[in-house]
Amino acid sequence: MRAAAQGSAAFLLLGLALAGGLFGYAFSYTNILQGEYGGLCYLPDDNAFNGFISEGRAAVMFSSENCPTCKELEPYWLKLCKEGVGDAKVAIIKLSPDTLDSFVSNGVEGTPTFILYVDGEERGRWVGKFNGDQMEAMRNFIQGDAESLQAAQEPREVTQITSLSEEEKHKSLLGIELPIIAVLASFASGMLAALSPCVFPVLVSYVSSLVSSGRKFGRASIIISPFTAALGALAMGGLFLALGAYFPWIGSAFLAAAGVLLFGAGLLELSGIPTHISMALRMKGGLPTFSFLYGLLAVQCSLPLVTGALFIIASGGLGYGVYALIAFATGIALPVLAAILASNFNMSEKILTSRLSALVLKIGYAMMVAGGAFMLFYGFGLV
Amino acid sequence: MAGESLVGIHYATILPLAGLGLLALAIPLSLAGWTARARQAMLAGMALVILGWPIYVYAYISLDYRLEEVAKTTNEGLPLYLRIGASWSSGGSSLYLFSALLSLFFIPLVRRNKESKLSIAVPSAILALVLVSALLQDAFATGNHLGGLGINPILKNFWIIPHPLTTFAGYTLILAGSIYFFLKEQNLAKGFIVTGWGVLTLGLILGGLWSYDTFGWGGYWAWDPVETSQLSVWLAAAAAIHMMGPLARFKPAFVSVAASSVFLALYVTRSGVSPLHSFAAQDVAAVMLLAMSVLFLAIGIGLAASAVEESLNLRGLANAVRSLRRANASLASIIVAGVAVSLTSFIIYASLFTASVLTAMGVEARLPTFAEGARFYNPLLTPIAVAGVVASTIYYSHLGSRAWKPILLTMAMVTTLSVMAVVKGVWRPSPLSDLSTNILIAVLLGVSTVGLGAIFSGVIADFATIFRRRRIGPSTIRIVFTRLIHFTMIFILFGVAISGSYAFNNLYGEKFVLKPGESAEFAGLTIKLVEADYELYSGYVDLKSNLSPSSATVTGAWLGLRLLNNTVPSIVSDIRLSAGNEAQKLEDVWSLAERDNTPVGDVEIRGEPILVQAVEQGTSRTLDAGLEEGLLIRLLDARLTVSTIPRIGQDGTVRGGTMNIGLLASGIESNMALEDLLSPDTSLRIVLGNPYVLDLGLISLRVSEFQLFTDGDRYLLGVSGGEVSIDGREYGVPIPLSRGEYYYIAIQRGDLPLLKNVLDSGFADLLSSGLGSRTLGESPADLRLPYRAPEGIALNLKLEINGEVYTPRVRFDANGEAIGIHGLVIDVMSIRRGLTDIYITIRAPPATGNFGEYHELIVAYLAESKDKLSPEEYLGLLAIMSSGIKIGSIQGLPPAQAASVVAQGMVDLYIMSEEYAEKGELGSRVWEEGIPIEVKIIPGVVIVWVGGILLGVLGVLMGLMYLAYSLKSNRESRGQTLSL
Repeated sequence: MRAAAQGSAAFLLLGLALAGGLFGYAFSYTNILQGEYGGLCYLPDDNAFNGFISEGRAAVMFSSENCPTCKELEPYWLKLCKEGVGDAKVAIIKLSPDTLDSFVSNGVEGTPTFILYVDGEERGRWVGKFNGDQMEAMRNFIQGDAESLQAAQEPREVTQITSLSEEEKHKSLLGIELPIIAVLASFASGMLAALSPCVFPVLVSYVSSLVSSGRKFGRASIIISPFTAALGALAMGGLFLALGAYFPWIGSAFLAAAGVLLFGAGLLELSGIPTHISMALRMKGGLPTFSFLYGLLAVQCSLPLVTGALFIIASGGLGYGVYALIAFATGIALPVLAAILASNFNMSEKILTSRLSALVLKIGYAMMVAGGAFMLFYGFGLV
Repeated sequence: MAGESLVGIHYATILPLAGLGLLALAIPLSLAGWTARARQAMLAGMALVILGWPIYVYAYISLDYRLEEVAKTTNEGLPLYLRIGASWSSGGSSLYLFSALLSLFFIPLVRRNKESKLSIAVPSAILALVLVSALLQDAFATGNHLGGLGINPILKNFWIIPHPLTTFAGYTLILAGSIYFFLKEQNLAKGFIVTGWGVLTLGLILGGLWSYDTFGWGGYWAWDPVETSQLSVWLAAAAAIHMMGPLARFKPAFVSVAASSVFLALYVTRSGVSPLHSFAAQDVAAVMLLAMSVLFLAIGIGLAASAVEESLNLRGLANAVRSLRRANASLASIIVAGVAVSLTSFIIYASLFTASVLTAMGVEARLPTFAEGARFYNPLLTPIAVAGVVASTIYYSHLGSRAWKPILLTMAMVTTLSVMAVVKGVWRPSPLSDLSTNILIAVLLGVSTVGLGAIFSGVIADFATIFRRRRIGPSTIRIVFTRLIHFTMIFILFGVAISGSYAFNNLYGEKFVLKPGESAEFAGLTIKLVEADYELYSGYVDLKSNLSPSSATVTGAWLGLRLLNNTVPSIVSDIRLSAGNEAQKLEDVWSLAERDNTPVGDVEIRGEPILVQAVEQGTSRTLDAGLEEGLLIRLLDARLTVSTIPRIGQDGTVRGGTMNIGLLASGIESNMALEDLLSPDTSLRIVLGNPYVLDLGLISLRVSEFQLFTDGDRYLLGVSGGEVSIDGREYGVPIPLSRGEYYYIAIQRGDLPLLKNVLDSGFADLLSSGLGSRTLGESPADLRLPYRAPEGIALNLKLEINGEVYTPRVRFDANGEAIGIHGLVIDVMSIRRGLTDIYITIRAPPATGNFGEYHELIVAYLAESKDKLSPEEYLGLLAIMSSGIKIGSIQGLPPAQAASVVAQGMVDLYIMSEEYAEKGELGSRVWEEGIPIEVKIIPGVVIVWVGGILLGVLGVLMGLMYLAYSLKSNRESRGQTLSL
């Protein structure tokens, strides 16, 4: 009976994960459409940008994904692009690998940033939300005396481009110190990712199940498992990056699926309908496989941290990139190692048999619920 | 028209009429107790009706114009499939199809040895009533027609085949099912109603596809009463199906409402409730259908009342409390879903019913459609839909009854996320719609995605179970099917949430105008117009014998042509007369007229007044002049005014005119202080003892009497007595003008643009030759319309879209214009990229006349038809085309004004078509101005189509399973004695 009940909750979880994925896809799909409607209003790469600003009066909005203010202001700017403003040309440029240079060379550190060019020269800049009526302010910005607008103003509601600023930071520092900071940053990313509130409880519950099954692990397992965890993180991250380059909607879909999955799994467990244990018991691969999956989950929950780390790794190449990679893997692996050792030395048995264990589990699940919800709300730019 | 009869004897009408007779006979026979005979009569009647139908269709296929409806809906050159479609395209003939289908579905009654009177009387009565209604709407009428009028332009496409067939099959299956229900044949009833619901789902989706494919606005649901009435049948059937468990006692009520809504839908499409779909039936025929609807509704209300009464008694309440205590999530879901469906059904049905009854009573009632409809129905129905989705999710997802709290909370979380994203401006699923619409979409997307995922888990679990057990029982099949049905329903809702606002909202369209060779870019597509050319259809339509003389278009055409015929020839001849006989006078008065508004500087008039009168409100009093040196009036900065006024005779026609000459000045001075006496209410009349001569260059005026007026700013001196001298020739002022002279001047000065156009073009000559009178006859019945007018004209286009060639065509069907529903049919193309449709609408090049806006196809049509018709027929065609294209303006106008509007249209169309003929195709507006094209992106609409078709198929399969099961169980119980 229990087996059947255990097996069946997986179906529901799968369904909920698909639901999340479908929602994320719908979100992304409709966002892409906004881009479609823009047509020639979006500058696709650096060449297009340079050509656009080289002649005449050109107003450009620097925008990025996951920037709430950009999403709010883009429709207005888009409308101005379609209608035209006097003799000025209006366009939007979105942060991407193809447009990175344009952002960097124009010193754009946060989005949205609006820059007015005349014959290729910058004549005015505005960062963040405008004051008062947005459309009218935008029109004034585009048509008006740009120099006067350069008076110092407090940028409002701006999203910092973290990876970019990290880039800048690294480029500005001395070459010798660079790898150390990169390495430390990667290690910290890995550690924080693996310890993040949405994933750590999974580790706890897995460990408790290991303890109750009375298994002990050999040296090989102890050494391999942390690396499979790291591998899992990298694999998912790499896959994510590759797919995201091809299909923009995959990112949102996966993020949403993972968030809903965690949220739903936590709720189901709190309702007394088991989910995860069946997954662990059914796995033939045992600890290394679990560790791999752990790495997989850890990535998605702490996406900003991991993405940052991955950017570092990617940009470092064969130089400090390898060190960063090792550091990242170590960061992810350490909590896994700690858990395994604890179970080997029966330390967690005491923890498990105490009355607190049930409470700890419950807290863990509640954190999964909170973590899943947080992941979703953060990922969609709402917190 | 001679030879027409409502009940005609024709090979195609004999069988159905005989069938009607037998069915009518069966009613009194069964009520009198002669049950066996009654049953025989009924079965025979049904058989005749069914067998008669293919024969009826054959009459259409063979273009047998002796049958009135064939003449009205087919024509020479109509392709075969459209001839078949024509056989159910009008009010009467479609009701015959309805009764044939209903007879087919009553066949199981044959095998039931029912002896009750009602089991024979009721089906017979229903069939007889529908057939009578069909008869009254001309389904079996015969007439004398040489040719056919042709099918309604909008129906002239492939969709005429599947949509009406599935719709009527759905209606008749549901109606038959409801009758079986009341005859206590529960298994049959379930099978028929579920199958009917499935087929009707297909009918609804096909209707949406038709709308999407034809109308060019991108939408697929306009809340038009015709669509809403079909939806109400669908909802009522769904509600009946959902009345189970604690709600089971309400099932009979909703079955009755389902039957009622079938008749209501038939009524709505044949009355004036909908602007889109009315066949404008005769009142009795339509009201009969409404009466049946009311009858079934009354029965339904009675049944509902008794169900409520049952529930409210002590035992019922006790049961309810007991079941509530035991309640689990599944039971709650059933109740919520049942309430949701029935509430939706109630809302839709009630809005239609009210409007229908009011229309039948003659009160104008309008249901909200398009934007109004969306604003009314969408916010009302969305919460109910959400409740339904929640209920079905909990019922149908795996472990739904145990895990309902996590599922509900997940749904709530995702929906909250969704709505917050919209409210915070992070997400705009429909960027060009307002915030509340976006919130609605967000709610629907949040709820439907989780619903889909959760129910999908149930589907997987089903398949896992089937795989494990390796056998499938009937109850498993039922569960799997109902799960899939609810999954698909939510899938459709998901598709509507994504696509609806884009489909509906016209702000999403980009407009372009392309000339051949030009291209436009949109959403990554390059659309190039390669070539375009006009092609006259090869078929013909008979306008003469198929249009009723009392119809608005024919009457308007006749009036307009008569106006032109009465005025133009006589004016032309009068003008010619004046030009001939009194050419010099004509020349002189025209040269005077041309001098209107010529500045003449300051003008002085002197004289000895013998009479000075002040005229105020018609009364005049004499003033004492009291001057010794005489009157001196100086007009400052004066201009010569020359005006012509018509002289109207007692019969209201123009008999001639008067030319008045005067001086308009900005200031006045006089030695009599006349300026102080003048006011807007007071004028002065002065008679001079000796005429004063004003020399104004080429003309000189001898003024003996004049009047002074002022409006407060300026002063007018009107010469009311005297002579004007031009080149030595003198004319008394004011100058009397003959009719010809009056018209000549008025036309030349541009006061009468219609006549000017007529005279400038060749139209005047055409009318003056007596052609107008020959075409008109004595009354609209005599109007010379063509028996063989070209069917229409097409504008064939060749487009290249990203390199691929497409050949859309914009059509003009003359018969549509002639009956007042407009003949222009635009073309729509939808190109699918992934889940997104690129929706392209191709419109007709506009043509602007002097008196209105037209399109070039009607112009090209007239130009190319001219040499195919006699001059009289051409003039008649011109008149009816003008009347048709102006029908919107002339409805409700008094005849004289309507005539004027139609006349203007005729002149415009004539002139434009002459120009077209002269310039040839390269001079047409296609080349000079281009063709208007609209492009729009509609995301996710394919989800709606796929989901809809899937839902229909699932419903049909499920219904057929019930039917198969009922047949099987019937066979098994055959061995038992039948209880009577």
